Amino acid sequence: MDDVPLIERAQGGDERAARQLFDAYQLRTYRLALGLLGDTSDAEEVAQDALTYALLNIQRYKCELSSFSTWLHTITVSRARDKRRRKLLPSISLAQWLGMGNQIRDHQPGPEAYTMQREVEGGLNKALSQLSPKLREAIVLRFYADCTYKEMGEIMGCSLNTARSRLRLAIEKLRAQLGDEQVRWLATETIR
Amino acid sequence: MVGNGNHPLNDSHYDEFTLEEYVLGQLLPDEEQAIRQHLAVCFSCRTMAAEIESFCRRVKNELERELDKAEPSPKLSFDAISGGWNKPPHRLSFSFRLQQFVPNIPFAVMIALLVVAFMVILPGADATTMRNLAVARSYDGPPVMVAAVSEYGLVLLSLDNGRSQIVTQLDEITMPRQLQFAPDGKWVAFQQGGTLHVVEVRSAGKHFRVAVEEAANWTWSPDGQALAYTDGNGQLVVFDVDSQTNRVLAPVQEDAWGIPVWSSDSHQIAFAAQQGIWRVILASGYRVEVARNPRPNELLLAPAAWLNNDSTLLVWNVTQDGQTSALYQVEINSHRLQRVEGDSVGQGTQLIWPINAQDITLVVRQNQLWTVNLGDDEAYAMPSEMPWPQAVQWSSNGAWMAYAATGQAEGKGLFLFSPQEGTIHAIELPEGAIEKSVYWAGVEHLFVLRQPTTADNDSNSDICELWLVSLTTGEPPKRILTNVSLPRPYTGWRWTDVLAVQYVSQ
Repeated sequence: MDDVPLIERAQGGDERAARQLFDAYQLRTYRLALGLLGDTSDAEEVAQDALTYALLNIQRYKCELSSFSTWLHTITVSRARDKRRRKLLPSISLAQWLGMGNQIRDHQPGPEAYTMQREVEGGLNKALSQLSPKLREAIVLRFYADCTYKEMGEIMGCSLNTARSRLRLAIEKLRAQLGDEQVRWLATETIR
Repeated sequence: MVGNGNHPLNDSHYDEFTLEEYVLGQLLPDEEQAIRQHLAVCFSCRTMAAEIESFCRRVKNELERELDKAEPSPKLSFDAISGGWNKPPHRLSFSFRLQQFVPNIPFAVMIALLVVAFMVILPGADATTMRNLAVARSYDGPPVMVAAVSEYGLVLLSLDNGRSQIVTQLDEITMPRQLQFAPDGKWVAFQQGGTLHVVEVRSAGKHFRVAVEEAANWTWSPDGQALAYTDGNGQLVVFDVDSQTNRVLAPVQEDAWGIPVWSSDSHQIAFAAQQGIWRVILASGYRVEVARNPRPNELLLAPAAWLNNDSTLLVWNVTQDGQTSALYQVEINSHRLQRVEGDSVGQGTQLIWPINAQDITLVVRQNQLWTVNLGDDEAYAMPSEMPWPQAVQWSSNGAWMAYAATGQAEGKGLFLFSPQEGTIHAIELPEGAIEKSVYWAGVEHLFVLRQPTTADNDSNSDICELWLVSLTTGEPPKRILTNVSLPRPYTGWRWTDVLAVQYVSQ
């Protein structure tokens, strides 16, 4: 799909063009965010945030530098990192904290609980959730978003070689984690 | 498996990394051809390549199967974008907007009509005067700069020499975050949306705008010459006010975040990164790891202050369960991370109980407040009757801690504590408002931010006031500023988003 005419119209202020871009990209942005974060509600928040930022700042997009999807992926990855970080930060207000006599409990699960909560049944999902965020980004960008190393580097804010190393390390870790299960998966695949 | 990438070692086998690249289609055509020929005759490499290929196929298939069936709920909508589409910052070009209204009139004609309309409609120059922010006519306190949010934007005031003067008003700044003056009061920095503003505090002063993410954080150097900031995208940057240039000290890959912490001589900056704490030496630009996070999945370490003549760094755990936060000391040279007995309190990326000039801070031990000297580990339990501090500021010499306490009656929430004497003094202010935050101005004056209670005496109003308290003259507290606007509540807002006071020593 050639988005350039739509993007140019949106950059000129055409709201309908922006809406068409939203419709065209909302699903893949949401799914990319879900792949990065593994949580539907977080993914929705990040996708909304990324699309809102991208479209309200569409003047900043330069088509000669990258494709629109690469630019949008970059924003999505950045927002997903923010989201992950915010989840680690205490979000309760000081006044609330003090007002409750220092007895308050954070309602958000802690990092360990969060990891446990995210442990889903599928072996790959479980293995993915145990990867560091950057290695997970590499896997999702490569195998889901079909990015090249160059695009991965642009999106993750690193060099092509760093993107390559991260993907290599991620594959290595996944293979080590999946171990025997991969053999079983191969067997089922053979039967199919 | 052996090999170094391009060719099998001793003509035997390719290593698995090369085979991975082959499977992922990332090799040059001639390399790919060579491997293909080798695989045709080598069972071992063929098996390995097949295993990698099936693994990659599995990852791809399962990711696609899992994600392609996922559908967002209707919450994901264009409404938020539509709502912001026609608001500033203007995304619509001026000509486009005009053409929307009157599509048949040439652009130049419309401009001329608009100019005439403005000349007729625009009122006199006094129309931009503030209608709501009230400043005391006379002022006999110490020289300070004040930044306060009014209904008509951010106002910068100079209070000095018996008078109060509005330095400048920034109409477009209605929701600033983290107002922070440079120590000499000549510049102020704040964020609004995706822009970090650095403003010279004088009439028609310079105004720099830097694009950052919302998670940006910053702090001024002790000499007031530079602003260090993490841009929310992983970069650590220093803005030099003299040369007005930005210098990247840590690139995006470093994933720098949180508040950068300057050493007392302004020569080094400590910052948090993905794996731990680093410092960067400004003269050379060298980055040195200070401490590796020992448990990255449990702790989120951030620097809080330099101690012991910049030989030690105080580090705190930002993650702990939304409650009190563990403190650690790291020796810069030995990189040893040592837990401090007792916990502190943070909000967002900021430790809110500060460290004074003598390396003393507050900690909680078994639900009791203590002061601890981080230099020699001496600690004293605070008086048990001491109300719990909400906002704390130490005097510049570290002898006194002023704080606003939580849960106190109107006019009874301001306290002074002397760690040397172990004494606590309550300072009474007139009723009608609750004490919220406190600022030292020299060692003899305090400014207190107060939130008036409404007529029903039940809930707080949406404005606040600034009061001056003299600690030595015996004069009654005096209201200096009122009708400072409070923002609509949002998660994590602080009093520094509303008002900042900077003492300007002479």
